[in-house]
Amino acid sequence: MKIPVSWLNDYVKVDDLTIDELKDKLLNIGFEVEDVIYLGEGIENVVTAKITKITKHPNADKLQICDMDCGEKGNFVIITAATNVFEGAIVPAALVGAKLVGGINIGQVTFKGVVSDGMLCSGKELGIDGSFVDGGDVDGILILDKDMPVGVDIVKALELDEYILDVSVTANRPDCQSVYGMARETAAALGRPLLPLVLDYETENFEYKNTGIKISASEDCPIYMGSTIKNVKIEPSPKWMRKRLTMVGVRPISNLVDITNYVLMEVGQPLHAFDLDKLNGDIEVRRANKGEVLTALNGENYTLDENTLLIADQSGGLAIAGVMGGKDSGVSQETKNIFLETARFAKGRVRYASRMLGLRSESSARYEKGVDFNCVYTGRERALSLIYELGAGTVAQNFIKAGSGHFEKTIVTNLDKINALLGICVEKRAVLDILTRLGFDVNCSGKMLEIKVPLFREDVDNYTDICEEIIRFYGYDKLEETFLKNAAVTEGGYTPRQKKIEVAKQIMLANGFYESMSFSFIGKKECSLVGADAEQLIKIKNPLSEDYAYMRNTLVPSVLVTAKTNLIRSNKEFRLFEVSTLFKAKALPLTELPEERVALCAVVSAGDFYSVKGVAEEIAQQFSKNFELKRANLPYLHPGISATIVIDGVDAINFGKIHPTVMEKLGVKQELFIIEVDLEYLVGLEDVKKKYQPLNKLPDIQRDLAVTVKEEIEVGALMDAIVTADEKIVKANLFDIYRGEQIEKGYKSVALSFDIRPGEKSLTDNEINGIMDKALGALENLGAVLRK
Amino acid sequence: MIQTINTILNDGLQVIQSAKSQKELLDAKVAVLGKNGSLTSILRNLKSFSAEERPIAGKLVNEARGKLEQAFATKFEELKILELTARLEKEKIDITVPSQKRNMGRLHPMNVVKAKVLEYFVSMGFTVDESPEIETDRYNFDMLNTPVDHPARNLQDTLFVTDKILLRSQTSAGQIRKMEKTAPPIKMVSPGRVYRADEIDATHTPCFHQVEGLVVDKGITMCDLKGILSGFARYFFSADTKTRFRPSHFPFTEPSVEVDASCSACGGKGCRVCKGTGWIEILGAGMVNRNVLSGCGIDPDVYTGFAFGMGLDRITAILYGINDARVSFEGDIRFLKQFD
Repeated sequence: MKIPVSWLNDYVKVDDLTIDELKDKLLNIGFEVEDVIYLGEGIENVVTAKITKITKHPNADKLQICDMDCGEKGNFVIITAATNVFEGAIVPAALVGAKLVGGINIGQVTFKGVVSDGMLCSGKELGIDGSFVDGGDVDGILILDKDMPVGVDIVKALELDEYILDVSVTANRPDCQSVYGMARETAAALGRPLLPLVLDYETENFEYKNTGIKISASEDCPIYMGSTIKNVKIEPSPKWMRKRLTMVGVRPISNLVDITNYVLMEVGQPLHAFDLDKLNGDIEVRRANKGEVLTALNGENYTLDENTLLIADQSGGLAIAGVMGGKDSGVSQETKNIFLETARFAKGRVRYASRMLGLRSESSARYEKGVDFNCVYTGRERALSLIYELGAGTVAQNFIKAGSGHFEKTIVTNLDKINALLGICVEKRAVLDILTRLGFDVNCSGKMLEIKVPLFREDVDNYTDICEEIIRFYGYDKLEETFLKNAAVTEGGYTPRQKKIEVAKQIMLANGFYESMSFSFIGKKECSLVGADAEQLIKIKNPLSEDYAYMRNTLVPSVLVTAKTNLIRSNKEFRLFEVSTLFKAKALPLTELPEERVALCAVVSAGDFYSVKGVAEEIAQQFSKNFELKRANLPYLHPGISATIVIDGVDAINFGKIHPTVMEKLGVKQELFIIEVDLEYLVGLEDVKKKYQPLNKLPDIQRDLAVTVKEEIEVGALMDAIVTADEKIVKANLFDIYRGEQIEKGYKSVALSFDIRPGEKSLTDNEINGIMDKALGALENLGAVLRK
Repeated sequence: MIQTINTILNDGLQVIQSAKSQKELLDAKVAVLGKNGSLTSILRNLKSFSAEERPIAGKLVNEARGKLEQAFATKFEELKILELTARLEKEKIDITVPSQKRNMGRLHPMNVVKAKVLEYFVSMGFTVDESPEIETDRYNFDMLNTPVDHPARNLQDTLFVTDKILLRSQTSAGQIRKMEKTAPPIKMVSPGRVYRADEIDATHTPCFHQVEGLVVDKGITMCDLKGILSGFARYFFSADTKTRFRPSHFPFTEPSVEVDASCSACGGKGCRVCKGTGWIEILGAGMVNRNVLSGCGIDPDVYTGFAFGMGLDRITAILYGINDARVSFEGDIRFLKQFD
């Protein structure tokens, strides 16, 4: 909301405050000034000056030498190429050292042997157009009023010494979406009087085309009023009005349109002027028929539906209520009589039409925020007074009205309740003072307060709203800092599930993995990467793009894309993981909330299967004492270089190398390994019980065996065979696999070590040899031959 | 005879002194004092001396032996130190060769920040609760006192799955879930991912993260809100951080406030981070709206409370000076490693 300080000053004296002081005052009561615009921004050392003499440049046909009288600043010679200058003209002269809009600095320049002490300026160079400065849009030098004194700072001369505050207004305060609304709050904050709006005008008692109004959709339009103005004179509005409209970002058009916009900005009431002579019979406020078409003021055709509110006459649609008027019934240069609409339309209804049609206007923006019943009346009165003041037409004494606008709200509360919520003691006098200044009518007996809410404060419902009004003006700095003085002591902390997720993350960190994040969305393309069917996923109705159309139920594509991002950027070595929520619909389309499961997925570049396996096993061990390993059978993993860790019959962790086909689709050449963990399942498992085992008195005995065995015999099988060969063998380790010259093709040499635990008594050499023989025997059962 | 013993002694001492290594020294020792050593031979041949000479010779031999052994021991220690020094010198390596460490990984900076935020509230007795990311409009809007025609309910602002089911646009839905299942006293924080239909640019991402907070009990005041949240700002930024509370509006709190902290980058003097104001907006808060409490079956005339919500992405960006929101979601290892 743009508020020119000079406009605000019409209704509350603020011109003695600095802009920073004003900003602070507004901030303290909840209005953040997001930007301050200075109309004369960037203009320095430009003065009004009279051209006393023009001579042709001796060496350049297109240049003229102007002798300038700059009043107190002195006399200068300035060269210009402009052709619209003449002797005696008053023009803006940028002297040496001047600054112009857009960061232009002016210095002394020599044009073909003649020195120029500055530059004559156009409107554009001063950041203005013709909207409120005559000649501002002329292609040439800005010719000022012939009576303008010389030597005056151009910022003052053009009345550009104006500050405009861009104020952010919260959604609950539509009443502050206007200069007058902000003035009311400012006056309360400063403890200064709020000056009244001029609402005086004279009327004539005449009847012209008496138009009736019928509201067929009273929920959408509780009140609709129309005023008749005859003999209107369409002309440009006065300069002061054009300037104010320009300052708030509205383009001046002609007096009547400008008045409606001016009132919208000043009071917050949108109005619409119809050409009365173009109306046919009574006006009806109704829902549009499906397919009804209206040509709006902007010349576009809009096809309406039964959810759009329409202002219509007997011939059809006149305006899309609150959004935009129709072209045919609009005010034109030929308009003689008008019908001025002032109404309240439901914000949702206006928003619907605006969004559905993709059509926004100042009016729709305001209606969407909400227009109150006070505003409907004030807006009309202010508009009529301006029409009268500007002599734009003759206002009829009678006006027509349908529906009613009234609500009465009284809040009964007491001081103790207010202070109990605030936590401090605000004295009664302050409470009464604040509320009265804001327009509340307070009846007080003892501590009891009976508060009548003004019409423009539809946001105020109960005593907590009153608390806010009080503390807003009393000052948040008056609140003390207490630490839950009255509250019960409670037990806080993380849930066991949260702690377990954190442990899993810590394991990843300890293994050198960095945590990454990606959006929770997935597209069809990424689904196909892992052979998933997007149709099984939860689809977003209004996705940002096709790539973000579904909620992911796997992290694999996301980490692969992250890996690709890194590889494209030449980050060749990385270990990354992500922990995020997966979404699984119980049935599609969704009728109830889906299952949400936390998952972990890691990706490794420049790694190998066995190091990835180590990480996967470490995670598994954290959550379960026992787990099994099997070959994975997943479309996105290399069938020979991948595995699944099974815990209690559930596939809990998949890991391995990415399938070459997936790599090809992904467009990545470098080997990638992933670990995919169903973390939700793991954190749901019973805690691994830890129990002390007495330490063995006798140390374990280590023995080695090296065997040659066929390639297809897995090392795991050999190790299992050793461990199960004798109960005293507690552990088997691999220490080397060798394939080479001494080994027959199709065979490998496997060197294993194993630990023999003696138990209570030490073992004799014979006993140890017996165990060794058993171990070897078990290996020989698998076709292994002892290497000598 | 005496001369012989003296010669052995002096020669021995000389050999000891000139020994270059432990081995040389030991050889010398054996040659003099060993089983067949020169001095030992004299002792063994003591019988061949006359009765008068014998005691003198014995004494001299023993004296010589003592001196030699002493010299041996001294020289031995000397050589040991010399040889150790030489060995250590020889074993010296180039310590500037780069290490072979395997670095610890790191949490995403946003989760480091999250942990720090939660830590404060957990220390104050807050539970950490989570709630669904896909929510019903009832929990995300209705129960939070959001008007039916509120702009946030539009397809332009919120991502929908069906008319009634949506991607939560705020962690505030977690307040309702907590109040429905738990009777006061309630003290909870609820972190999580939220979604909005925002086009992606340097300051907007369709997924981002919030931490919600809720306190409901008898006698909770706005001063409590101010105390807890000011305390948080001091804990999170620094002990001398100041806070500023200013009026704001949220449908689910009344009164509502916006909380600013004095800029951690410039200490409040005004800089690029705080856009010259000296303040950084860190969270929104307020006293829980009566309609919200009663909607959850909590009597607003008996209980009061406050709620707050903060954007983790924003705070992380401020803390580390991240000027592009998208970077957080790319997973570029060079970004992630900056927080080692």
